[in-house]
Amino acid sequence: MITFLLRRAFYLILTLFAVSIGIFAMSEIAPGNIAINSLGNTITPAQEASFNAQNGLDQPAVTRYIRWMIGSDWRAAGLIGYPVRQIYEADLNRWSWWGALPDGTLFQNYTDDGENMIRVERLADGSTRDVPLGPEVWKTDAEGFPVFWGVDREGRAAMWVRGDDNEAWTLGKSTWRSSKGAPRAYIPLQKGLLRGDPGVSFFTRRPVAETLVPRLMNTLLLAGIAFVVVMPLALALGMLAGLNEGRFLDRLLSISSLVATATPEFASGVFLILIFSTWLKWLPGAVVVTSDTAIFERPQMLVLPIITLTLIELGYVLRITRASMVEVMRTNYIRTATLKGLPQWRIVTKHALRNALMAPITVIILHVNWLIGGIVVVETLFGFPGLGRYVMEAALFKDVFAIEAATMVLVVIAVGTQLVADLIYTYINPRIRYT
Amino acid sequence: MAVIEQPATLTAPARPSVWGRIAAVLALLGRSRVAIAGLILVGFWVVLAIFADDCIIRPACWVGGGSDGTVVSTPWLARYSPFEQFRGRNLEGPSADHWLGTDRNGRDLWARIVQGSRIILVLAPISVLIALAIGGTLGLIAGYFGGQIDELLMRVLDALMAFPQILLYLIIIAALGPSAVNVVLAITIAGAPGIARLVRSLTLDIKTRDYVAAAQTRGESPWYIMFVEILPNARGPIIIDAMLRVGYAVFAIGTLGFLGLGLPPPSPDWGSIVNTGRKFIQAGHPWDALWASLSIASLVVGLNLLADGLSEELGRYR
Repeated sequence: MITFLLRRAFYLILTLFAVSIGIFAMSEIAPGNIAINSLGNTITPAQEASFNAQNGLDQPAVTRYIRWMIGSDWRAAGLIGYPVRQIYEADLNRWSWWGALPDGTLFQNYTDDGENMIRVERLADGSTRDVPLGPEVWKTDAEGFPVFWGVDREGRAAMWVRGDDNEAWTLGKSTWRSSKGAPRAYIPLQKGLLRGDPGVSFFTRRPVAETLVPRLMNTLLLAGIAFVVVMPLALALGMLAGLNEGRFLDRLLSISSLVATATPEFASGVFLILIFSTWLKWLPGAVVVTSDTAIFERPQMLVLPIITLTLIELGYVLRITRASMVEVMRTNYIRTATLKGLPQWRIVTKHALRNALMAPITVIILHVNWLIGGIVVVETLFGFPGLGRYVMEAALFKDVFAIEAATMVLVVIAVGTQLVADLIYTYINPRIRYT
Repeated sequence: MAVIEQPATLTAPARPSVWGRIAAVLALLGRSRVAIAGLILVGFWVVLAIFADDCIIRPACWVGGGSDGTVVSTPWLARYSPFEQFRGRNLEGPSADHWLGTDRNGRDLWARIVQGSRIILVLAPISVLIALAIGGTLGLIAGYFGGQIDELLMRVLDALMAFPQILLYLIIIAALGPSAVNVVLAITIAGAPGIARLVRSLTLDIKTRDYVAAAQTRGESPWYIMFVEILPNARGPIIIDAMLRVGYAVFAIGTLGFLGLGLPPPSPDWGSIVNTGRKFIQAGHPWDALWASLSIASLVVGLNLLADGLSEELGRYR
């Protein structure tokens, strides 16, 4: 049993590793230019090169993968000679990276002429003061150039070369700004996905995690309610159909569940909106969230999204339950029970139920993959601010770090539930062999 | 003394002709009311797609001229071109002129829906066929050779299957951009692992049969055995699976279109008609969203009913 679990967990990690490489390869290495996607197709080659350097996109794929997974701050700290730290600046409402001197003072660096490095020290009240550094800070690197590693004013680890007039392009509010004396090389600072920091969105320029976490909570709420509605309903109806095999009730339930499941979510959602919102005017046809608690203040907003999700999931589970019930009712021990003269309800509840539920319970959990697809569509259709819509919009705007992070979270959920399904299955079916 | 009667000539059992087999399948379908309902729904859209305009007798528009307006086809069942804009007739309800109404650009909705059926009925089978070719080959290789190759292939395919399909679509389309080719590519990549699994398990079973051993003894190459001995004998479940997959593919193409990741406008893709049309529902013009939703729902339901009825009838005689 223990070896079985360990083996499963090992494969889980292996799969996630392969998946993460796949996601990374498809979204970052694949054709399609992140600079042009983020900045528009009017940028000059110099601006593109500068953007790529500042965001570490010119580095080899392996370096970028490691930065995405376990971060780059430790590597930067080694080069700078001081640890780097991420702090939240409340007055500017943003996260930023600073180097930390041994006495705890936070600093960033800049230079105007490529000769005199300036250290900007952050004081306790949030103001800064400039401290000029002497020429001794320039260190000779492996290739013989005098270089200085520090944290630049944008919060990236950066390498300046002495006497360099390198030009950097940054996109300000609306115009491009060119600055002389810019660093030669950058390491964008990031803690890495495994440490809870999947990077900064190219689109919103905010940390991805900041948006992703509340969105995930909203989605879990929606999916959780849908799950709680679907499960008992589908199991009960499936059993009803299975017990009445071949009769009218069975035909009706089977056909209508097939229709419900085959209809794409956006189509059934449109039908529901037209019926309940436009025609009957009972329920709102969109989810409008104005505050964090709006969902709880107007729960009727959630009714149509949940019904849509229910429809698509219901049919599948119902059909599995029905098939499983039909199979169990044909077994010898059920026939024996019938011949003993036990009442029908007793046979069903005492003998058939447990065995008939085995398959559907596993299937329901394995069905999370499908539920995620439904959630993306339903959230888009109803404007629900969840993870599904987030990943969809990230894909539309090619917001690479957001796609990567949201996809990884969803895959972890999908793969994790598969493990849970395995565990539940081995628990309710002791006959399974641990291979 | 018993005399063993020798038959005069040894005749192989007559192999039914192609038409005979099609007739047998139709007869099988005819027994299931579910399958007939499916056949009617699917047949309705297939007829509309084929006879939407005169493209069937004008090969010039087969090679991609029909959609960008360089080759102007004469509409038949579609009645109008899906791109023609009628001045001053935006967002109208159904009328005698425009059976299903017009969209916000004054284009005839019936024409767009009918032409949309052609797009979806071409792309869905193509993507399933490509997925069958790739997934089938991988499954045959994994099942037939076994060992390390099998282990490696199955690990990679497991990782692909761990992806919720929608994410696969999103990542691929986000990286490559929305176009018909990329939609087919995305659906192929998402579908191939499932097919490979099925074919692998069938191969593992068929590999142990005597006729495979005979072929091996004859010294046939592994590829010959895989594609000539094993594959034809595994066709039954593969065909049923492929029929279901056409339904999924239609579903997926519609979903991608709805998410704005399908065919770029102005192509009359059902999903994108719903996507643009839903913004006018509150304004009292539900027709775009309604008709396109009904169309895709009826087509997918039809395909599912067909596959369901067929597999049920086949199962009954097995």
